[in-house]
Amino acid sequence: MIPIKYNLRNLVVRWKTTAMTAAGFTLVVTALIVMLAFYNGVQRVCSISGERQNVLVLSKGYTDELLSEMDRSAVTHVLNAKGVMRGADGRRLASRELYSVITLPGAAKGEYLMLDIRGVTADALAVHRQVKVVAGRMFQANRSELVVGAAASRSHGLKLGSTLKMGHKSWTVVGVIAAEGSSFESEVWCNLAELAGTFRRGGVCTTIVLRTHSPEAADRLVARLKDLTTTPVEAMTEHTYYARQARYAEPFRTAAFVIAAFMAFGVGFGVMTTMYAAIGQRRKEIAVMRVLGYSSRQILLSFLFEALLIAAFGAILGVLLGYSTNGLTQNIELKGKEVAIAFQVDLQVILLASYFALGTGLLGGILPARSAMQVGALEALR
Amino acid sequence: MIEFAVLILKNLTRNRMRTALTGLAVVVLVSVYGFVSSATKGISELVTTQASETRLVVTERWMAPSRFPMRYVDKIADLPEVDDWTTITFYPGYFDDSRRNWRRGTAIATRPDNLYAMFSDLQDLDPAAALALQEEKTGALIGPEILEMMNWKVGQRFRFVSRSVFGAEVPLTIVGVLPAGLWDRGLVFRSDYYKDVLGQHDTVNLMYIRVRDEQTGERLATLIESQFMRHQPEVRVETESSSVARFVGRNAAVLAIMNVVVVILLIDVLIVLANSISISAQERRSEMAVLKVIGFQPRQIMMLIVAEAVLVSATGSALGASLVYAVSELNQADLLPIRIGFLTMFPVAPTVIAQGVILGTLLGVAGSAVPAWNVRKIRVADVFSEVV
Repeated sequence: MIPIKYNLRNLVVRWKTTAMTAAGFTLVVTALIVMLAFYNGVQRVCSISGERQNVLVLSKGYTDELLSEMDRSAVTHVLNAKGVMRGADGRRLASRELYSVITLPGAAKGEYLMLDIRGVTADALAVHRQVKVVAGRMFQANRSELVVGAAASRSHGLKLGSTLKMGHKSWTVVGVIAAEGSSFESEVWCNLAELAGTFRRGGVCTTIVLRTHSPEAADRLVARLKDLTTTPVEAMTEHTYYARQARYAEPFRTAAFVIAAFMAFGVGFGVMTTMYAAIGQRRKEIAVMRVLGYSSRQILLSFLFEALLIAAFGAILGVLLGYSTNGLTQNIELKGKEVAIAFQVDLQVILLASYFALGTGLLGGILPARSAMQVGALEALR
Repeated sequence: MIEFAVLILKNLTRNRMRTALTGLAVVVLVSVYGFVSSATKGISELVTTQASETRLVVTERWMAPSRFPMRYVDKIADLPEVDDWTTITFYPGYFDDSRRNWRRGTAIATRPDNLYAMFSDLQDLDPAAALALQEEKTGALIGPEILEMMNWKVGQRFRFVSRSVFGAEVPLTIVGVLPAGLWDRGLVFRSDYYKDVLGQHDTVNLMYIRVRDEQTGERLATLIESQFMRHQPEVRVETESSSVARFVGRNAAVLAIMNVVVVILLIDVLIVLANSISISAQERRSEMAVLKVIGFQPRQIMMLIVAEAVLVSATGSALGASLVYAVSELNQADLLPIRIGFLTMFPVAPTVIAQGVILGTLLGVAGSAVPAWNVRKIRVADVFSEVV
């Protein structure tokens, strides 16, 4: 076996070329990690938003809350469906909700910001168990109060006690809610009747969320609601609803891999150039190694290893750079909903990006290494 | 000069493998750059060019989805500085009564007589289709994707089944096809017909207004907002460009990531070029010393290196950009095995080839600057002492 020290020293001697080639890998790995970390963040928010025991009901033909509109008749039918869990007081655990997007004036003239708002009843926290009031208290009806999600609080600067003008009223923030990082944290919640009254949406619900005893009971309730013929509705478990939203990030993931693959081609050609040059300069050395008894296979492996070392150096730097985006929070729109996404650089992403770099190094190094393997011992004597 | 050019070509053909690899790297990276930047540019252009400052959008002040009374429209349309106007009412439904989720869409009911004036993204609409919509009250313009999905042709009659009102449906006749891209899944029909068939006279979702100039727009926006300030609901008036910018802004994170990728791609091209040129220059140090001895000026030797890099880079970039343009054109003509969605929405303009050459030249100069400078500084005595 040719000593590893030989390859390491060669890389150090040609440090400028090594650094430039490795930098190519660094950039590919960084780009791939950033793109996949973003995708991971979307997946995470969608997977933790919504509980398996909850059934989400929308008006027929709609797959998102923003456009759904259920009238009183549909609401009554849904609320009376069999299989809804009852609370300690014997009432059905059903949350009638009005979800909307509010447009607020921004700092500059003519600039507007959007804020997701959900009008709910007193039953909401009993249905959405993952939502907790972490500061202040829950709003009270007809007092123009609201509670704000932790992410919305950060992005819109809404603190406890601050006021928000919506319609002809001034609303006071009386609490902050957290929901394990789910999309509910990007919303503000207030009283359903008050919200509907303020914005002429009286008697209308966009969503009804029903609590059941178990995920199996939720599936049964979904099937039952789908069979409603008098007032057809769309029913699915809350978990399914949010998981479906994650599908909108799939094209981004595909694009990330396609872009990274093409970048890898470019960088692969770069590593080939470097390795061919390295071999060209060291033909005599290679011939001497043949004279010393190293087999052509050992020479091939040695040069392949050298290409992999360059890729590995680049990948390590790329991982470090990419990892610096971990936890970075950005707001994005997911099917009409503004959601705070935290970039997630997990082990899987790191391994994937590293394998990607090593694979590229391997492919880029194989042809030059094969050419090194073909150098004969006689060249040493010339 | 010709001799100089011949020398450059000879140098490049001396190590064909390296020239080819460098060129290929540039082709691949510039191609990806072309695709990604065409999408980011397309999105930005939606805000800066297509969306106008002289078209105003009237919506409900606070809540989305917007909805305001029809009586507002009459009052606004009567204002003296309104040059033209239209309304938009969204009508969600299914393309047939199978009510399958994948056969659903959202139709737009609007005025048929001023489509070009009011919709910036309908400028490519066939005039015959626009005229047909004016002549046929049951007429509908339909997006190419729906046409293909439903296997329909112009002249086809169908019933658009309501999603919001159970049992309601609108019989329509396809009179034309909407432009590909943003309108791929669109369906446009007449607002007067919508009112007749569904008896819906009370509300609209949006109103578009065209005004003479930006100042008039600002004045009119303030006037309309104040006029309806004490009404329920209030309305908001903003320019089309700021309305589009707000929606694009909600996806700023995705755009930012794409822009980072674009920058990374350009840096990658620079690195590949710089690396290849510096290897080549390093290998030819003694040659460069000889050139100096026979009378070449340091500036000329530097130019030799830069010119080699520019030739490879500009050619590679032009090829990469041509590839992007060709793929985009094939996609537009539906000649690819799969349709690339973002290229349909944001097709690549032929100017991309010229841009590719310019970009390649700049990258070539930037990538070879350091190696060329190093070559310029070669001292003949040093090189010959190494050789000896």
